[in-house]
Amino acid sequence: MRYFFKTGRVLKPLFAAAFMGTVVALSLLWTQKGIHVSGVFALLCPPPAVNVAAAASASSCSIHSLAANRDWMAWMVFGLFIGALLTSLWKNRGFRFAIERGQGVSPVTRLVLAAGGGLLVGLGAALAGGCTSSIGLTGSALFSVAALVFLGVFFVGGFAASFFFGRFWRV
Amino acid sequence: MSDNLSSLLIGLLFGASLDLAGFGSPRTLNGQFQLRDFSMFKVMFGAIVVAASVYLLMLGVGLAPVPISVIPSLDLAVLLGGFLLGAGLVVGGYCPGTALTGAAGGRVDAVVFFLMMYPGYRLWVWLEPQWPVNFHALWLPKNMTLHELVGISPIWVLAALALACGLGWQLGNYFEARHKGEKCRIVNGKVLVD
Repeated sequence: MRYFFKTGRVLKPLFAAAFMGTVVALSLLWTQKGIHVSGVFALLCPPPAVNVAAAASASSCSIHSLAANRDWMAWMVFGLFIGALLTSLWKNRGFRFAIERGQGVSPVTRLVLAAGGGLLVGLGAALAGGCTSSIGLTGSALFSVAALVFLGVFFVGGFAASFFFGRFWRV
Repeated sequence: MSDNLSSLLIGLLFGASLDLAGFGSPRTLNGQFQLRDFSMFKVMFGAIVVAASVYLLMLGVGLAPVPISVIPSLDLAVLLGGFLLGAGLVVGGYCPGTALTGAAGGRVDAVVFFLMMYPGYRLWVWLEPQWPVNFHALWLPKNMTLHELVGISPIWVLAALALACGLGWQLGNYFEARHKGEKCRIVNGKVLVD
């Protein structure tokens, strides 16, 4: 078992990739829907007055695909939380509250930045009609042009923001 | 088995894979953009190659392909959304799935991040009808895949992605070696500050 882990409780990238890739493949072959996280917010929103789904690239995470029964998304997100909770307990780190942040960053600054980043990501997920899991992982595994372009701009956005906010992530 | 139960199980496994990859830690995720820790690139790109291989193999033995609507389509919204997700990951430290993973590890910042995604989501739902530009005008035919666009077998796309993944992996090793010692260590308790 130790062989699969690098220092601490984290899998070596190769095994983590194999595990995650298998789960993504399973989501494609079993439920045939892929993995969706941000879609859970679409469930909480009212259906749009004008349905542009016919014209748009409405993915499952988009507000425009509300017509279908999508309760399963809430179950997937619930499962994700429990799965992560179980492994973090299993790898002998007892549950405790913390604010993870870069060196020299105060907890208040970190929480304000987390709130701002959350707003940006929520806005981005609503715009794109998906997030890193649904478009980035699932879409790319299907070789969707949109997904591959999405991953490209995702990294561009990250490096651009790092220019201004990278200093908050020194270790 | 009902969709809800199978989705729950897939969610469980996906959450476990995110946590075991170390993606509950915003410092690991942001190590990517500081070029000190390539876990994000390696695991994500590697997972895409593995998932695509398994999927294509299983289609080969006769399993049913996904409905075409699962494949995202290219428009300005996907482009802008991707940029915002990348920028938000650096500002706030997470993306939606990793925020849940971080929260499951007890990170308060992840809880704040996740809760604030909802107002962000609603902001776009509110803005979209009054926005002058239609972000959903398609740039390519709906649900277009790369092998359809180029007109080759998906096997070649898989080969190209695997090659790009391998090259990126090596590049990552090079940068990680240059930043040796700065790597965010995730030893019991040490990774969490406060």
